[in-house]
Amino acid sequence: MPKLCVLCNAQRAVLKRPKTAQQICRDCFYAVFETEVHNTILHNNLFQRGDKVAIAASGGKDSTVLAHVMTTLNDRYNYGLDLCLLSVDEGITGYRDDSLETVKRNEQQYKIPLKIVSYAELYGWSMDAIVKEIGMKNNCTFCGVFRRQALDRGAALLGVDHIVTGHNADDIAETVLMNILRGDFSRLQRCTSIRTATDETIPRSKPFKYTYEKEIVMYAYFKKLDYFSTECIYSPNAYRGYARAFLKDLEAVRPSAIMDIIHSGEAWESKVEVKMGAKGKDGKVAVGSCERCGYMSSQKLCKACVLLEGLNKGLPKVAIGNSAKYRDSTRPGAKPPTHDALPISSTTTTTPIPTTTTTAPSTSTIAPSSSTSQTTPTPTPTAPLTPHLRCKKCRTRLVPLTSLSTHDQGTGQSAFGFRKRDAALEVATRCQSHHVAETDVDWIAGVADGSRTEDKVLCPNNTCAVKLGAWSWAGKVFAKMRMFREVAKC
Amino acid sequence: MCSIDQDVDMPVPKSKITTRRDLLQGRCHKCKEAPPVVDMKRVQYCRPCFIESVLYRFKLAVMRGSKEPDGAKVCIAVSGGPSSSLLLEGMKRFHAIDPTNPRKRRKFSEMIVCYIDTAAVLGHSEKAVEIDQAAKEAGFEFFRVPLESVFLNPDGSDPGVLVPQGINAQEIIQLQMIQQSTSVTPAERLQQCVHALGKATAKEEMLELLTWKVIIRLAKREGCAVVARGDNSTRMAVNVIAQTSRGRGFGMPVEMSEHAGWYKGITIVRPLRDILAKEVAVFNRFEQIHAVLTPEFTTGMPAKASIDRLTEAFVVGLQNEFPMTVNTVVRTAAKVVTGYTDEDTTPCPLCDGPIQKSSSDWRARHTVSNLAAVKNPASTTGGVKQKEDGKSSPCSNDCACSENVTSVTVPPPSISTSCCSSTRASAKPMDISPHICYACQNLCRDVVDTAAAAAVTRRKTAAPLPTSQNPASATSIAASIAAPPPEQQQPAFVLPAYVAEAVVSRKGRDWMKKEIGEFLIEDGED
Ligand SMILES: [Zn+2]
Ligand SMILES: [Zn+2]
Ligand SMILES: [Zn+2]
Ligand SMILES: [Zn+2]
Ligand SMILES: [Zn+2]
Ligand SMILES: [Zn+2]
Repeated sequence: MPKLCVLCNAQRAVLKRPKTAQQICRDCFYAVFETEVHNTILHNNLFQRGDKVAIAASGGKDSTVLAHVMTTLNDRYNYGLDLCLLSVDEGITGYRDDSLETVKRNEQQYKIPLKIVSYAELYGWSMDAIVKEIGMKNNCTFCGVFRRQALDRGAALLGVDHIVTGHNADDIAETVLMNILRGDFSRLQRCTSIRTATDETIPRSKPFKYTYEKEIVMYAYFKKLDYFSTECIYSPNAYRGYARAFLKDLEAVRPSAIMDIIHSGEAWESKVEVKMGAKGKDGKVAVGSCERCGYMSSQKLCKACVLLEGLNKGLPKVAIGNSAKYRDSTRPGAKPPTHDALPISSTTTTTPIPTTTTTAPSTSTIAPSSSTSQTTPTPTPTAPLTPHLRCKKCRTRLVPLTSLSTHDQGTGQSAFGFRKRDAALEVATRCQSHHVAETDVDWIAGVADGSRTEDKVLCPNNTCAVKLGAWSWAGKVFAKMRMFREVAKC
Repeated sequence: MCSIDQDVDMPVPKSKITTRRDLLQGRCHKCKEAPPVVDMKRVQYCRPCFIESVLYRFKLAVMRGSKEPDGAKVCIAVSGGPSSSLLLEGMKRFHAIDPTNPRKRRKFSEMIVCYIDTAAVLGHSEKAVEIDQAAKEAGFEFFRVPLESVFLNPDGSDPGVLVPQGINAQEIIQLQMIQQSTSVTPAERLQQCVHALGKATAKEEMLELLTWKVIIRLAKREGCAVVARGDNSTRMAVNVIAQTSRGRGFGMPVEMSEHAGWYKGITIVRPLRDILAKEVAVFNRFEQIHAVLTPEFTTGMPAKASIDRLTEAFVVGLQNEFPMTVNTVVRTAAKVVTGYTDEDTTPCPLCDGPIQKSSSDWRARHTVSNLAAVKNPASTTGGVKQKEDGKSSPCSNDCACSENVTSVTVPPPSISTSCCSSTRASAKPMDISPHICYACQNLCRDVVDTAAAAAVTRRKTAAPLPTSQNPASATSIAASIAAPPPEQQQPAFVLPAYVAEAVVSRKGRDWMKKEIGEFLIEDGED
């Protein structure tokens, strides 16, 4: 007696549903799978009719199935969405070559347009080049941050209203666990939200938020979808690996565990949520833009620019603080600037833009969808304010970062020092003083007049005058200024 | 694929030590005199300093945790394990009269020790005697309460028991229960309740929540305003992850916060919340405190036996590699805020924790199990509406007979001879699943799954299921699986009667609220 599907009780059960362990037939599986995504989209009001929606496509299973399901649901329920595929080429040998082929095939299969943006094009660095520079450690930070922005910048080029990504329930549950384990309370409060609400110009959401990874694979398998499966060859097997393994074990013990973790996480969501794209309340949420590239950022520099700074600092003979743009122009031999894709604010703002203009940076920088005609030479922005070392207390600018001389050690890892991570160890064992030319610190008592060779450093802001550290003179450079904590960071 | 869109911040591995000020090689980090004998979280202590440090954190946690005026009566809940032995010892020292200042008033008026005896399910009834002795040595009054007393009313009278009434395997969670009197002893009911659950995770959780129920009951009966629990910080970290994984996120502050204020009139203190399991062991060894080792449900089972065991292995493993793990987890979870403090949040009839609103909708939306509703949405909404309209009495709501007309209701397993002569008010079967919290619904699911699995195995040997009378609803009829017949091996699941009573009174309140709803002024209205 064949087992019947517990849902329709008509057809033969051919699979055990990962989410519920119910034995169901293929048609019922498609039905529940698609309906759950549909429910997620409807209940969260993810889209408006007529929205142009970019599907972040990596060629992997998540995004391939997402593209399939989005086109299916768009037709079936008549969402009225204008869908397109958006791919990022990180420049990892052997990784993207094949997966981009998959994406190109998807473009044919689903008959939706595709745009590929490359890291080299956007940042002047491919992932391979980054790994060559900094080694295998922490490179996923790069590929994460860069990818985030790359999608936005690509989306800006296409003029889309919304980006959907293939993050699935396993990813969300894992992130909840990770944030508990590393004590990141603010992220814990927002990591389950279906729309990402920070640092972005274009709303981004996760229609697969409640979809199990195993079911995505199953769906692709039964529907014979064409996807490329390779783990990112640079993904480190670190802390996150533990959480992932634990989650798999949990799922084996109780199939609903992944949903249960998400349910737990949603109960902790911060009620005061930063709404993206919405009009801010009395400018309460100050979202500014990166001083260097104009990308939305709550800090002076966006994450990508900080990372780039670290990278570029490690390069000999290249001035500190160059973004891809400047690097290109300072190296005549380099390939001509092709990064007209890089949205750059025409004006470099130093003050945070109030929320009411949240979307301003994007609207002002996105060329009206005719992206190909955007070959006009990149407007040279007014000399960007270089980041400074600042007083730890009053934040008075003290020394421009550009005048710090890079000495002996490579500073590649210093870019990571801004958070507690293992790279911090190297910071601890490394020279922690800043080496500065005398002329840049003539505000320190006893430096300009040469009256002393060492003393304490006080904040030049008279109302503050906090003790910042100590200095000593060592040859041509000035050393030993601990306690300057506030390096401009994102 | 690499889909990380956030920074990966990794805790500092233990091998590299950040420099501390004024550390002397080979000396205790605290007094800087004696040679160290303990190394905890990279701090090295000599023996007296270590003991002092543990007792200091103990005292601090007690003082911070119990903010009410002095003179309260404390109920110390012990299990017999190392942490409860330390808890008992610590409370004894805390309560002792200060020899240097005998006139100083004590914080608490009185202390009692309570031990919930799980011998009916776990065996080892001899342990209670040893714990009794330890409590007497501490000079506190000792209460040994058998866990099965949860199946009786607080006054000792017998309210009967809840038995399942037709289980529907199509709906992921739906648990029709009926209250009936029974001749089965409370101990046997407890065994049925626990052993009828299929998975170790569910059994464990059921034991845990019944135990807690008994502790709270005893504390109330004895007039204790404070309940002291022996959770050490390692245990608390395990709890955080395990409760998260079971979907109990909404109640997390009740578990973790020092001032949750959830249980009316009772404050929960966890004096060991800043003391690691390892520190407990070392302290007990130094001070020659003996623990009575009581078995746990999963004792001797592999790590993957249950969520709790799995989580414990995970947290302990991480803690070994990253010594700040436990601290970080406990600290983070203690910050969590949820809507449980809202005035209209009700306690779950089963676990007493807060119920998150609309979590049933959430589940139905994201784990679709009713395809009829999907394919024909109009009919379902109409049906729901009709149901609401048709209801006017509080009791007929959610009755299996009225609501689920199509499902086959089979006589419940006869666990007593008097199954049809129920005497209680809620003699009608009711679906308790909508009235319990999300995590307890998961427990119910285990019941349903187990019953369904049992039914499937039975179906292979026994006669086919009853056929439908109504062709339109054939699918749902055939999918509903009858409750196991009396002769089957699997013990029938039962629940304490208080669950039904709480549901009935809740429904009564909901019904009243609906009736008077239009006369109530909402906050937002002006
Ligand atoms: Zn089916
Ligand atoms: Zn990567
Ligand atoms: Zn930037
Ligand atoms: Zn200052
Ligand atoms: Zn000492
Ligand atoms: Zn509950």
